[in-house]
Amino acid sequence: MTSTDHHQELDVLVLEYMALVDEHLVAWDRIASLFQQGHEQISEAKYTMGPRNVSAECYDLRMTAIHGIERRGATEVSLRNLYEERLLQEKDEAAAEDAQDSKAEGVRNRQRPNRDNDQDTNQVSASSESKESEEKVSSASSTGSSTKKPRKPDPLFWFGAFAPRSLRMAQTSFQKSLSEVVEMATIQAKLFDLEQRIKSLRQQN
Amino acid sequence: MAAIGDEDSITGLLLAGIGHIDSRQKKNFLVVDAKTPLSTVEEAFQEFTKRKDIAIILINQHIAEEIRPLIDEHDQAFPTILEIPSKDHPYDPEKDSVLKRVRRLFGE
Repeated sequence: MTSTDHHQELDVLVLEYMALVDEHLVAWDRIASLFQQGHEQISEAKYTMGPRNVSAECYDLRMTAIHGIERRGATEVSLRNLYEERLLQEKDEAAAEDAQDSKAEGVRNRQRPNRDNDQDTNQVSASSESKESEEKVSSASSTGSSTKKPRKPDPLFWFGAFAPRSLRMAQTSFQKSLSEVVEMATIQAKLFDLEQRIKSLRQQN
Repeated sequence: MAAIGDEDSITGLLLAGIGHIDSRQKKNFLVVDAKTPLSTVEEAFQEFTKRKDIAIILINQHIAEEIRPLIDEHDQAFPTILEIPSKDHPYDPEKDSVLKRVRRLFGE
């Protein structure tokens, strides 16, 4: 690679870097305005409910994260809904257990074929099948009512059963800011990667 | 995700659903007030940077300013450190670590 190639590549990287810096500043503006909204709404909630009722003393110490981050490759990150993932995992596990149980039941209840009175057994098995299917239907209907989707944990309830509108709005603002945070983290990781490449190209020159 | 910030910022982020306390009572957030010693903030920051389950650390810019040497030492893409505004301290671009790195890169 000639020195002009080096310089051209460096120019491209620097331009890309500056574009990302610009994106970083724009993303920062968006985050700052969402945080500002959130802070104002929390202040309003504190005014309405009293400062002690919207404080760290109210946090539920059994909390589990609803949102998390997933890393994709060297520079990409995305937002994960950990609550939905946990629900799906639980469903899969329950389905696997059900499948195992039904398999075990099938082997245990296996009947020996009796060739002497084939017709009778056919009738008996048909009737027992219909009984089984009825049982299955009834058990499905009974479990259907009991296996309701568990309520999504909402940190809003840490601050009382009837949280004011301002606190609800603060929650929305901070929830919106999470996607911006993820975007900004991706931009910063890309900036970091470009910095390393620019530095190494400079050293080669 | 982890967060170090004042009470309002942490309350907002926990309302959004990022708060987590594991079975060993390890939190992924730290509420910093006037009484919090600097060593506690430093320890929390160092712990979060070492944890494998954390990809982003959110920290209020005015708190980041207090542990600036530690933040400048951090030379990995992940966990990414994002400086966020707080209620009482508006964003100051002069203190932004990304813009500082840009200036350093271009020799200013």
